[in-house]
Amino acid sequence: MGIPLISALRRLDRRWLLNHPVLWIIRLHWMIYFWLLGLALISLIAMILPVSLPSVNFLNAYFWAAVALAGMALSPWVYLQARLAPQLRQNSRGRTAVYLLAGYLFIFGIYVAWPYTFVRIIEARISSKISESEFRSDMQTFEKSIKNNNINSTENRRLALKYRNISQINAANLGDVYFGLLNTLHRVSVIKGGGGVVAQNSYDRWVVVPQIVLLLALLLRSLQVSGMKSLITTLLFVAAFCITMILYTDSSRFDDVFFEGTIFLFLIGIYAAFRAPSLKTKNALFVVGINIFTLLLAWMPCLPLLFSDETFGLDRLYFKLFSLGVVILFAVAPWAQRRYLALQAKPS
Amino acid sequence: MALPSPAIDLAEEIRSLIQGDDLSRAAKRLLDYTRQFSGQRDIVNSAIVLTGELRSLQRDIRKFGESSERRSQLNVLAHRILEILDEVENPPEDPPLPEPPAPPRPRAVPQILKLEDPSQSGKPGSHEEANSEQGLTSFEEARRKFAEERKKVDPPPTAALEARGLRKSYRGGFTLSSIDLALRPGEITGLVGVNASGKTTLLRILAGELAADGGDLAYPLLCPEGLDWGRIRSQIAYVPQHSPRWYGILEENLYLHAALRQLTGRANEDEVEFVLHRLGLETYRKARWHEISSGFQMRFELAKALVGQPRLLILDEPLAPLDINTQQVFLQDLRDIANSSSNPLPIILSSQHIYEVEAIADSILFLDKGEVIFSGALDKLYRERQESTYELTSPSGKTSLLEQLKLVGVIEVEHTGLTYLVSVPPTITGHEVLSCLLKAHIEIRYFRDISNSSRKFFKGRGE
Repeated sequence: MGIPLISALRRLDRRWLLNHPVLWIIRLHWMIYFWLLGLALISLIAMILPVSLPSVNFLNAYFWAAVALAGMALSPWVYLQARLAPQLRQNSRGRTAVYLLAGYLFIFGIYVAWPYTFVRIIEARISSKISESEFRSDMQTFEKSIKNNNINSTENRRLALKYRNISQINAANLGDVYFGLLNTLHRVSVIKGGGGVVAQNSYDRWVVVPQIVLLLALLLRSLQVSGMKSLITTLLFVAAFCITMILYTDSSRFDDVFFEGTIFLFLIGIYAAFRAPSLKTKNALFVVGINIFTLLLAWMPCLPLLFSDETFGLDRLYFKLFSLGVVILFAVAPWAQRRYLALQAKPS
Repeated sequence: MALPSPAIDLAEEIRSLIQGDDLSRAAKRLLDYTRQFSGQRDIVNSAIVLTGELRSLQRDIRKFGESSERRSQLNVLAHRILEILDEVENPPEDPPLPEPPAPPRPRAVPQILKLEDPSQSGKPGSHEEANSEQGLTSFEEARRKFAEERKKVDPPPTAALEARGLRKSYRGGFTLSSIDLALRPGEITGLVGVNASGKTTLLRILAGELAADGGDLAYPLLCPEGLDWGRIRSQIAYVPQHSPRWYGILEENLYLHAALRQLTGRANEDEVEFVLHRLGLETYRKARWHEISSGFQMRFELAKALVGQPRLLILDEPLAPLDINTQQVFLQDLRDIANSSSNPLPIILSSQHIYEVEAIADSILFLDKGEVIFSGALDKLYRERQESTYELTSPSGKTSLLEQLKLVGVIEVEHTGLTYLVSVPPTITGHEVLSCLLKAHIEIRYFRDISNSSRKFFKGRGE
């Protein structure tokens, strides 16, 4: 069985190539097609992900993971545009630039819908985990404990566990209730309104940092990569990495999994990259290794912090080290790329 | 409907090519012929299909050798070429006439005879005489003679490009100074010179890739109303020496380029199909850039330039990546493109393959350190020469050559590393120089008269 609609798309492709070069360069038809497929996939993932009430804390991570996925889906397209669009300079019509810009905005616009759709579905599912009456009851119990100065009561501990990691809850008519026991980095507000638990977008800005680094690294690889094989490997790796992270985010140990996984993959990457010269054939493993190595280079300065217990309290230092890592990434990646090409060129 | 004179000439050329068993070129010229003179898509497509079949058959012959079956297939294709010619010459929509006894078709009539004297058209007997009188052995010589004759009759066409006093300076000290140039449809201008003489700079200025510091640059044929740069630019095809790589399938790039030049739909397909077959690239149409050699990359660059139906073609060192056989074919194609009746193109190309370029160029522009050393036709170079120059190789040393050539009044002998450049008074012929050396038992391995070649300008230049 072939890919659905593929023959119709190919006919359209030919038609636009011959008659509407700007649309063809933008690859509008293919981008809409893959956007729909991706939307279906991302909705499916959002519906099967295991979620519970505390998952509301990870909406932030879910959102940025989906942004990363959208970025990955767009990066080959950006790569293509960077190479095809300059040909339009020969086309003197002023409308060309307008069409091109409109096309780009449209593509970016529809792909932004991925993370929002993803998060909205998860929000709805989290919301359905607890009824309005149950939530009110819990909040009242909790408020009573605070009033009675009995914050460490058994009931309170049970509630703390139930709503673990939710640091601030604004329960509509009950005023602000704080889970002061939970000393967590997450600052996700949850409002109990008429429709259940709703997350506010008070995303933790520090959580964004690794995602930005990931996207930067991906962009860098997209621009430097010499062959589609290498690029696809990078994309597959990042996709697998992000999906793994998404599947693990239902745990309160998201950060641990994320960073430990990163370190682990980085070490594998280093091994593969430096082991590669002695390999007789530069196989897929090597390609994967060198890509991981390049991608995760930005985390390198953070390694000592990640290994220490005090890491997570040192947000600002961590951020600075990440910035340093990005600089190293930009400085070292070209060298790694040349080394990679040299290795590829070397007769086996 | 009477066909115009160029159509008759081209048809005769094709017939003579068939008689000379040069079917490859006959098929190429048939493509030109049908496109320029038939005006019917079906006939052009028949020629395209035929060209494809011929190439396929020739590949088989190269691979498996020539058998009687393949030979007969070649004959069939040759007949089909003639049939297509007949179809164009006698279109079926003509009212049916009682069939008169067909006069014998003049076969393999050398084109030069008709061209030398257009009034002699259709008189094969006198052609042969003329041919033997002129001593013309090569078809290219005949073609050039024809072009010269035609120039005498026709007024010079409007220039596609006119440059006066073009200047460009770089901070590094290089200056391109006061370039005057006119490129007319149907003319090929060869741009030659040592390295770093300003060839690429000049071509880039002409193509609009680089702004000149001063001087006038006009494109009267491309935009008679003034300087609408967008319109002009869309009619110029510039092929740089180092082309950026193409992405995706090669034929898609050609379709895209044609579409960007407002050639859409079926016209786009027809144009790409024609150019692919005309340049012999149809085999590689589905390939990707990195899968073809640099020679084919250059030929695809030419194809890309042509599918846009430009009115000015600028090529920077196109021969560099081509082997010697491909160079000949490439240059012959350029000559055909320039000579097209329907869209005669002005072409300017830079090259270090001087002799090859000179073989097809109507005029030469020689640059050195940004200055024009010579500009004009090669015969002008010969007429105005102060000395005759010969290029030769010999195992003998410079001293012995000089010693011997004193007998013919040698002016200078320069050793260029591999060859010697011998300058003698203009009255001394090559025969005399050669005789003088051979009499002294000096071994001569290579000898060439470069008195009418820009090669002699390289003397004493360069590093």
